[in-house]
Amino acid sequence: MLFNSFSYLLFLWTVYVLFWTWRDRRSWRHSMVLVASYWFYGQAHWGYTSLLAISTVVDYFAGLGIDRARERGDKRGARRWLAMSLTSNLGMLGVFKYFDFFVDGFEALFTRMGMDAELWHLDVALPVGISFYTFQTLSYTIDIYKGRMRASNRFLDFALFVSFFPQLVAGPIVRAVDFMPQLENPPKLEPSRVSSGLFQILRGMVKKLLMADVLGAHVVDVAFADGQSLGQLGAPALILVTYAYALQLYGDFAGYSDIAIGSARVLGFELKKNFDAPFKAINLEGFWARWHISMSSWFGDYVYIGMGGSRAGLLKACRNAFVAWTLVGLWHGAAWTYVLWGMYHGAWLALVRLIRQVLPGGKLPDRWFVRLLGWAFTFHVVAFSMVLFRCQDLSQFGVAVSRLGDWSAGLPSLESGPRGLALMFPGAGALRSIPWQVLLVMLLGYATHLMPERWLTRTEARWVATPAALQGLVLAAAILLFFALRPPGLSPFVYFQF
Amino acid sequence: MKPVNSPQQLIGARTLVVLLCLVGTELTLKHVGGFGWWTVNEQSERYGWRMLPSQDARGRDLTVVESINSEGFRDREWEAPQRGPDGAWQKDETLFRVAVLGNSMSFGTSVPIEGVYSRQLERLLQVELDSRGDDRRALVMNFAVQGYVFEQMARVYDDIAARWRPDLLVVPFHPHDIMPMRPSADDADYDFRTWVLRSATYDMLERHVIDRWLPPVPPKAAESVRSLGPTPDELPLRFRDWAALDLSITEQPFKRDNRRWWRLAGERMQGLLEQVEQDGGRLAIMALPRWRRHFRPKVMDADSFWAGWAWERRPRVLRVSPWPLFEQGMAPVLADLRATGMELGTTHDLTTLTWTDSAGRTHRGDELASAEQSLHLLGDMGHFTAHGHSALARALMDAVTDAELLGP
Repeated sequence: MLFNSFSYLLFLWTVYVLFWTWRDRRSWRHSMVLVASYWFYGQAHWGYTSLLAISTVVDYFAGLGIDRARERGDKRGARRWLAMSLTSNLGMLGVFKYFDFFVDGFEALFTRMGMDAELWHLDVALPVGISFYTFQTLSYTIDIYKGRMRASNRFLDFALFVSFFPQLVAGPIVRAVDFMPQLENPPKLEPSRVSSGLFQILRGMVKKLLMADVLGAHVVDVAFADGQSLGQLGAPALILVTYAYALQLYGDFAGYSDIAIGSARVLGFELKKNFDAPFKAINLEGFWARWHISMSSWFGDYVYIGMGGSRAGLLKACRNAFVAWTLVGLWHGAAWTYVLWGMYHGAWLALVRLIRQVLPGGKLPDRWFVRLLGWAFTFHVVAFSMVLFRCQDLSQFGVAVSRLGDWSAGLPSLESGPRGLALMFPGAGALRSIPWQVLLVMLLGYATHLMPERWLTRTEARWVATPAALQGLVLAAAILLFFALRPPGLSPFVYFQF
Repeated sequence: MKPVNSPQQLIGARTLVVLLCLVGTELTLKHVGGFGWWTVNEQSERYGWRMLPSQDARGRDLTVVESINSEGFRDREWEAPQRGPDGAWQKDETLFRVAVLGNSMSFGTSVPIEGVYSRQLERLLQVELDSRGDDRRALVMNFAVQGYVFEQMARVYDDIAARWRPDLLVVPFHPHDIMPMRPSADDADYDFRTWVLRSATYDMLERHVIDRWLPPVPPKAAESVRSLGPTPDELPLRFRDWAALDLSITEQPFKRDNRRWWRLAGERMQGLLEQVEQDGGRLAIMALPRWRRHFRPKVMDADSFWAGWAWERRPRVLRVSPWPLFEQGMAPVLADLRATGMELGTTHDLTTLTWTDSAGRTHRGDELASAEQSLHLLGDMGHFTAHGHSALARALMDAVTDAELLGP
């Protein structure tokens, strides 16, 4: 079930009514949300609900085992339980997500060595959201092991933490330490929070349906349809496609996160912010503090700091950053493009650390033009990496890089088309033009992204203060607007594949 | 802010307003705005689009009912085709079955179903069968879908109509039907799709926002080639070329540049002929009369191509040319039209006939005294009146009789 579907709106409404009807009956309420979450997940593939259940059961008992071992002062016992949790979760991830990738790698290696090897492949569809919920449960056992929290002895609550539908399939990656305490207190139905949740959902829908899907259908998917279509683009077209894709990816994923956060909020739960206007960042570290925050902080806390962080000197800090971000790349998918993408970011982050050492005071002067240059540089470093992220393989990325240097076809021009002006690209590529409506979406997308945060806060405050009936009117208009303006069909969220 | 005690307090106002707005908009648009009455299509990867099955829609002027059966065609409900012991589709020997392909002209836009030529032909055939003492029942199945070109019609035969093993397949042909099939913009299956497509709200949005203001979604490179029709390798068309090609084929279907589309249509028709014969039937090609030909004798209809094609394959193909009947039937109307002093030579199939009298008042074609006798709809000359359909049915009946399909 997709967030951007009617089914989801009906589903959320039903859960909302039942949840608040049973607000004084904890076990009924939690059981209902648990069943609803499994049903939600089962819509993608019923068989894979068993993996979710296995992960839940294993980590519940692992959490209890670690907690009791720590109480006894039995470090080895705690480590054994933690190892079981790690093996189980990473094993599941390894089998379902990476097995075929490594088998392919071995096959290629054997072929290079002159051996004709055809190895066995698992050949199964990737369980939706496995990267998210395994990392979520891992954070639970690791936090107990580190003494940051106590294990839950309520299985129902823990199962609900793992499977809570708003964040189940594409995050944000919620930490038990943030979520579990919310299950303890009886929820309070506050109109302002419900209104705020609806605002978040609306915001997410706008990002997904009116921004990401429009840019995807009209620009990105056409350009990246295959290697041939990408190879026909000139540099100006490819640069515009890159800007469009950066915004599409942001709109898609941040839109999902907004809907997830909003859905949780109308049920009285708070999930942490997952995106914070990432394209406003003026350096790469700032970007990663704003983009997919729950994932980058997960890798920061459990991998980078786990490896020693910056405690063991500059060079080791650079190494740790590189390794952590290479793993971030691998987390996104079993493909060399993702690995290289992670390495690219890791290398930049390491380089930034090194440069910082030679700067007076460890940072650039706080002048407007330095900030502007930093912003432009960061944006282009990130946007370029997204081309790698979007390419189906390294050879397609090679084509993209080679096309970036081709300015021979000349600059695009504005010409009149059947439905108004369009930016026409010279040459015979698959992407010959971008209509003004799509350019406007792109322009508005970046403009709203870069506008001051307080404008949005003010808009949300106004919305919350609006009477419910008037909100209903806006919601009805929004539903109609989404119908009219989004491209036909229902496109899934990009991050579902991770 | 104070917590709310009852969930109804919260759900009430917002949900109620959303529902009232959506339902109110829908009802207002339907009953006041006149939206949501037309026949609704859904996107289809195979056919480009198809009519949603089981709908009771209205024609363009909202007066003619267009009931779409459960198979998605404007006809009565059909009995399911039967398979024989070997699993192959079986011919029903108790019927003389005719399948009619086509687009809006055969669909019968603005004509009540009993006036459409498929029904009129059915009645003529039944009378003929009865007069011969033949126990068989005549059944004409109308597989026409508005907007289809030949490739789409042929696919309908291949996938759907062939299951009934018709005794006769009628392919009505307008020169524009050589146009290659347009790629489907989308074939996504999303929840409540049929509800959405049928709603007046969507109809309004589609007509006034989507089709008017929004750019069509470009197909991905691979799709644009795949969906083009008969022989994708020969058709290096890109999406933006469609409008130019459409205009060229509409205005000058027989010009040199467009010959290859006729060649491709000929090849496709050959395949269809072989399939129909294998299914135990006969093929009839009917050249649909064109409005412009009444005023410009040089204008050619599809018969210019298919007559020779059918001649080369005689007697396997029935050539049906209703033009003489149209020429004769339209004579009084044309005389009236000429009397108005209108520049008829410049009128187009898709324009509306209007002229201004000496007092400066504007008149429409359907105000003519002889309008009732017209074979073309005078407000939409690309389509036929019930009289026009009657002429088409008679021309087909004559061809059936001449070919002795009902026996000597």
